[in-house]
Amino acid sequence: MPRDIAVFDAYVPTIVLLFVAGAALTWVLDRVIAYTGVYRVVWHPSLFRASLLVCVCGVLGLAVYR
Amino acid sequence: MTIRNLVGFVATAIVFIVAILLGRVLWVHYMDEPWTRDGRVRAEIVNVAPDVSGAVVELPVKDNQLVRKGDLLMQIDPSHYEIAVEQAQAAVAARKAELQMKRDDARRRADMDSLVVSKESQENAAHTASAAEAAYRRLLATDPKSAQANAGLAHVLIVRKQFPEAEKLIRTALAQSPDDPVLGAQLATVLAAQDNAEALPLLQKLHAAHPQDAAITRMLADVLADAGDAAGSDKLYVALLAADPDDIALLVAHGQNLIRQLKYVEAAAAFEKATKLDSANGDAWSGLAFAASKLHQPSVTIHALTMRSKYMPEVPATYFLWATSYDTLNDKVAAATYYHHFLDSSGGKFPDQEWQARQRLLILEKNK
Repeated sequence: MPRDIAVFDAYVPTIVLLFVAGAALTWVLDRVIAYTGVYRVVWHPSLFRASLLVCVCGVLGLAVYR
Repeated sequence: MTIRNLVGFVATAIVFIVAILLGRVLWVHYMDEPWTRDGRVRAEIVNVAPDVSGAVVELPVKDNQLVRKGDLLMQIDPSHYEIAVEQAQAAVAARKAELQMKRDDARRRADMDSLVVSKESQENAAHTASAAEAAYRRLLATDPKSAQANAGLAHVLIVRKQFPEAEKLIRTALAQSPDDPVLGAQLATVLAAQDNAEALPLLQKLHAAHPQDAAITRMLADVLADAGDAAGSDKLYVALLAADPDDIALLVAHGQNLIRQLKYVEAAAAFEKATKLDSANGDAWSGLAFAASKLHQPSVTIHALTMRSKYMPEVPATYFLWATSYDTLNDKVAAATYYHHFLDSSGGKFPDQEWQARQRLLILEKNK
């Protein structure tokens, strides 16, 4: 996959787009987890959500760049 | 309730640690490890240019192959250059032929009386021969290793009888191409012309290497005959004559060899054949006269001597042959005259024959 993608004739690093996609994916996951009530179990929901965002974005980035 | 709290803490901590690890791995991978946007590729590039131009027909090296000095990198289409070599060789051959012609001219004119040929044309012929020599030298200057040009120049020098210079030239050329048969034969010619003892072993070596080369065989036979090995040289002459039975020079040399071996009948046959092929060859007539006198055929001897006297001046040996022949035929007056001629011209060089001549004269002139 190319490192840079042209968006409206400007080169944007692919990882930025991946992170946007990762944020959207995390939001969907977040909704699912909230629906199932898992947040009531975890110790620190905010930390859990932030970590989840990092995990999703990191996995996407590594999957593309490795 | 406590277990539920513990599971929630562990789940959060695991997700947190995984997030940190993933973030770190992605950071290292994206920021620290080199990738194309940071990279600069540089290679050691050496320009290679061939000495001669032309289309590349073969490229035997691969990418990134280690090569050493002297390795073949590419092959340039050799056809143009092969043609050029052939043209140059043809030019050499043409020059050689030209030189031969000029030299023949020069010799012919030198032989002729200066009354017949003007001094101008004599000098012209000599100068054109020099020009041919200069052409060889120019060829040598551009290609000093050319065995052919060396051989050509050596040939000019040999014909001019500049033997030491020719010998030096040939030896230098031979050092570069020691197996060249032409140069070897020329060296042998020069050595034989200078009566150098090296000539015989050299010729024997050349003959062993090139048994089919008639010129070398003939030279070896001549040198052997000069060295007194009549039987050895005769074997070669017989072989040469088998290949070329009508060669007069060979017949004469063969006959002289037979006389040395005291085979007078065969010698007379050889000389007779030579005189039939070329009735103007004085050497053949001399040989025939000598062989016939040894065979006690005085009329044949006298005929041969008469023919010989047309082409060559008389020498003491022929006077002696005349005298003994007339003596055998009982022509006392003629015999006595020739014995006197012989004694007048010999001057002590043939003591046995002079003694015989004096004895015969005593008898012949007493009976008169």
